[in-house]
Amino acid sequence: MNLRRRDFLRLGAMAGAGCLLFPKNYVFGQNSPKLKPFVDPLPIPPVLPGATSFDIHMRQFFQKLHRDLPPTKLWGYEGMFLGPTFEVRSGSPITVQWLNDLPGQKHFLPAVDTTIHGSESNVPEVRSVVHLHGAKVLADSDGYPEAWFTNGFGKTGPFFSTRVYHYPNDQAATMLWYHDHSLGITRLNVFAGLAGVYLIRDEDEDELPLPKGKFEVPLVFMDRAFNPDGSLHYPVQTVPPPPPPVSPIWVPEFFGDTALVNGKILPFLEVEPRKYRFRMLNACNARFLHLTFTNATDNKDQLHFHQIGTDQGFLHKPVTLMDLLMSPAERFDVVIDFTGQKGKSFILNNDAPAPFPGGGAPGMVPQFMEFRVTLPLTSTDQPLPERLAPVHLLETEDAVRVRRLTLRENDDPNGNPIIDFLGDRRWNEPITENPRAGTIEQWDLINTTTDGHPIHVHLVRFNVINRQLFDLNVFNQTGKLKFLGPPEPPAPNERPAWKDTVVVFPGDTTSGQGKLTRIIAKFDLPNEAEFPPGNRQQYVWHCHILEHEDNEMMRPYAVVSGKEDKD
Amino acid sequence: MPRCKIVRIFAMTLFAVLVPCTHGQQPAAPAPQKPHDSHAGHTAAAPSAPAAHEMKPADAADVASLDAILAAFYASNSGAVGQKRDIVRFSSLFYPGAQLMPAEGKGHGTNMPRAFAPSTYIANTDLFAAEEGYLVKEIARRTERFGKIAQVFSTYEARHASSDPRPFVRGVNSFQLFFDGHRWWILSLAWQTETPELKLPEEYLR
Repeated sequence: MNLRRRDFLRLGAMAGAGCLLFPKNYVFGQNSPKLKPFVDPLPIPPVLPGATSFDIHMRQFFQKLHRDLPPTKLWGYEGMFLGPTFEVRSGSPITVQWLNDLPGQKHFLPAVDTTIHGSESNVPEVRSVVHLHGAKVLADSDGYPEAWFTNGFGKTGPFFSTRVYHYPNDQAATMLWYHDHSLGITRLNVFAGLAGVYLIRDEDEDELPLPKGKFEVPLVFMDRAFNPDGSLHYPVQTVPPPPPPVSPIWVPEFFGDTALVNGKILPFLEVEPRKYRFRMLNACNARFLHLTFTNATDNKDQLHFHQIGTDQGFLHKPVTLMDLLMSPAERFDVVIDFTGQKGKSFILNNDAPAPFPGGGAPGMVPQFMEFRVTLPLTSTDQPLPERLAPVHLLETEDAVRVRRLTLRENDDPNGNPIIDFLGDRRWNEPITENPRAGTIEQWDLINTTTDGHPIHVHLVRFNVINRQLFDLNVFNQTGKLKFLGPPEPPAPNERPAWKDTVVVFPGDTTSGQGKLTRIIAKFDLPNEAEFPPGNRQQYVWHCHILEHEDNEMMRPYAVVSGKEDKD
Repeated sequence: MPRCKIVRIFAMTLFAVLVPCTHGQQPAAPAPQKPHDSHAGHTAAAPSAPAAHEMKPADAADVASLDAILAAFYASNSGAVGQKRDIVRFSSLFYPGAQLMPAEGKGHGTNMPRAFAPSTYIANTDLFAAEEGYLVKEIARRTERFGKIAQVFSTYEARHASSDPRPFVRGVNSFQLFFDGHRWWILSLAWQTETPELKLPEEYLR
């Protein structure tokens, strides 16, 4: 019998134990130092000066993340965590040369798993590539996961094509964010600090009577775990590791026990008794957030979220909400009105189960930050506009194609997750999603798993159409969809709206129910760029739980010019 | 404003699902709305009866006796490298709503067992079986029966290939079964694998 490598490893394990060694447990970061909340002011990342070209360096550095925590080793853009904020105008292109100045040959987080696709032992560990999340860009500037590069461009990945990225900003005012997207280690590079905010402004936004200047504040939420010396702690599988094909180091999700906003642990912000506009981003690796805003001494005294925008721009009118559910990578543009609250403090709370929605992971991050209404009122504000921006929804009858794409978890026979799949295919299999440039497609995302997955499609913005429960047993056995009820309309802050990340909720799998989420997108290239027939602009779509994305829950797709490829 | 959580207890299992919801929200001015509540609200209101009854019925020979249903279970759960397992046959052995729970299966940071519907278990593990080979068989059994109900401790071992000299995993399948007068059903299955710290005792090997 020919022994494969994984058989060899397995037999090696068996020699001592006489049986298969399954993981005893997954180690999660639940022992971070207990830190006093709300002792550090909220940092506001600096805005880059107006320019049309930028050199942005990725560096290693140490930064204090809490008054009582020793400085933490981090990686960040321009040597800061978070990275600096871009503020650009719609229609005014910029170029950015992303420069990898990260040191060494080994990743400083000892969690690189060489069994994961694209992260094999012959690939440099200290590699990076930058994706501007939500940007409408040509493929060579999208930060394709295999377009990575090392320090000084010493080595480059197989899809590397340019040192300078072009961002045409051919899209409406919104909040994007930039972060690392290196194949197989995105979860580690983002965890290390490689993320920042990118704001696009336009004339429509200028004319809206919204809080501006110091009254417009980015809030970037993250969870992390720390060692007592202040260093980051990213978990790995327990020792001995599980046998292949379960990855020996990778964990299915990271849930930290320490909340950060804008790179500071449990900060506070002093505010005036007036409206503030908060540009909110869930930048956690895997944690969904279910946020409420309550009085620090009376949790029945609750402020409303007036949501005015989402991933890809303004809603058509404000939506007033008591709570927000944010999946990783989603952005919510909200206004909070502190008028009449002088002297009070409010806490931004989170009670989302992790994993979402099933829960069960140890540790919560029940609070993110405190708002103290302590500053004197310096200027009056205006009522929220009743109308924000038109949202012209795509029509399903205009879709040239409906694709059915399955989200599937793959387990070993003992129920241990190995990987998750999109469309039942691995990363390295041939491209199967190949929309023609300029056409509209409907994608039906069929969730057979127990988890909610934030699905992000690069390049495009889309509308959420609806969701629908289906019979999971029938689907598993026949591949046919038998629906168990009528389509469910999206939430009021999902439609009418433009999104680039959508929560693909699960059904109730133990009751034999799956859930399908329908989205519709027009696959436009920036500035209606035209290429010769057959040209393929290659992007990706993926789950934005970074641990899933790193381990097969990501697929390439191509926007094809001229005519649609044959499948 | 009041908020609540619904703690949904799946009574057949130890598996609890915590789902946030906003039932009972008081209207404000303007009336607040709940985003993304399609999961919590609609799942709770959705039809709960699985449709397994509508699937292909079991082969009568597979469910005529305890011996038969256990034999069919192991046969349909086994697959050599490159072989597709019979998900329809496997599913037909189980009562609608039956759940499979691996005692050692973790993976999502919880010490509670995850529960699978039969078809989901096969669908989720098909790739492993097809690529690695999963030939599982019963090697010992302890049965308790009273009237229509039975519980079976079935010791199993699995190999990647029939030529493998030793199994790569062993453990105990704990079945709850029911006889409806015409056929046997598997009501639930929990299983515990052998680990270095938890060796199979002799009484479960004979």
